[in-house]
Amino acid sequence: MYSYRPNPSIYLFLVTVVLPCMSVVAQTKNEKEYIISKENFPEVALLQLENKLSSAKRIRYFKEYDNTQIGYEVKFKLEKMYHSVEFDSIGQLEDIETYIEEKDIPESTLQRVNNFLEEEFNTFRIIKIQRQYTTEITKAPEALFQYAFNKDKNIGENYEIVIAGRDQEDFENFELLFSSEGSLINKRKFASIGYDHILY
Amino acid sequence: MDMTTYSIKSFFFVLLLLASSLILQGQETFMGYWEPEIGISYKVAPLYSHKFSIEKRTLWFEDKTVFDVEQIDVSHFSNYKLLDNQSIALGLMYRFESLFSDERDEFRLTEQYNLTTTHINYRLGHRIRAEQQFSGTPINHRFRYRLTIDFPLQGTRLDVGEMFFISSIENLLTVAKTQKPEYDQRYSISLGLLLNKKLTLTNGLEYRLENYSNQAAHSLFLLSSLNIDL
Repeated sequence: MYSYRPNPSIYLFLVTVVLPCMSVVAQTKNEKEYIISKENFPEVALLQLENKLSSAKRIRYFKEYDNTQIGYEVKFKLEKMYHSVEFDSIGQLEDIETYIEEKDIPESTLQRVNNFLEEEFNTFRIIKIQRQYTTEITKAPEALFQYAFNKDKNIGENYEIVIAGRDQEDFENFELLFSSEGSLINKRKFASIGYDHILY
Repeated sequence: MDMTTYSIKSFFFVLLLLASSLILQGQETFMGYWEPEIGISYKVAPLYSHKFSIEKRTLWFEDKTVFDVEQIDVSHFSNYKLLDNQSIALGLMYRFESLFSDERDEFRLTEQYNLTTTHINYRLGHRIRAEQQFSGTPINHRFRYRLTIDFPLQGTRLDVGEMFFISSIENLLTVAKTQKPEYDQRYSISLGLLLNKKLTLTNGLEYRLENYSNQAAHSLFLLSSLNIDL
């Protein structure tokens, strides 16, 4: 039998090729979220969350970098629903999002969304849906939280839908933002992350 | 929504329970292996892709510490996407064994169906495979099902430079004309690192319980893989 001893060149490869790659990676990130401690979350934002998370579970605080913009986000589970609340760099409330299912979208809105998707893509699959309450509905944080937790509809809320869609080429991921009437507000393409092969 | 946490907890509970009971079952034969792999995937057409990989198996423990290369596998998979989360694939593999032992080389054909489902905090992968193994003796037919869970470890989405967790359970049945059916179980736990959008490094452990209905053999694999997605 051929006998094998670990080759020092493997370690040399790790030190000279793999580790430098990792430092390059760190320099080129431009959109990223970090888990942070509650202490590092803006105090202004924490004051707005006061008394709202007392019965929430899985509370996690994030700091987000999107190109030059910095933001903060808290994600939690409350009464069996997953919510995320976004704040700007100084801790002012931006929006509240809740994971929902297709059946939670008003019927006429869903009809318009489906019409859009059928016109835009040959094939598509809805991956996730979030109901979004922004400060365009009201500037008062207390009222916005109330709308979100009461699951109020047709008050100017948006629907953020992530889909995998295909026109002529390969499937791509899109984040689509629709108004409460079902009109498209924004369409953003995702860069696919190349780690799918771990399951293939 | 409550199902999310429940499913993850149940998955780990079952995994832990099975793994611990199997390890305690006995120490009939135990072998340790190291299996590093390098794979390159690339797109040929919008829905069609190829993957080439090379993998080496080194025996590092059998009663005492040894370092013997046992085999080298060279494989190629053709993958066709049916939907963004479903695919079928055809695989060819050649296993070089005669270079290292008295065993014959093996050629293997694989047919595969894969389905993934995305949930709020994790992703599940279902893989069904049928394999035909040719190595001079009557053809071995192997049927296998693998359930995999993976999720990012920092936050809810996987960003470059971040780590992810993968765990899987696989059931295997091998049948051939001249032998009794052989049932195998495999459990694995790995940590992955997304080095950049095209490069992934994964390291983990796989516990295999082979032929458990007859003469069981236990083995532990140290798995390392570097994947390049061109």
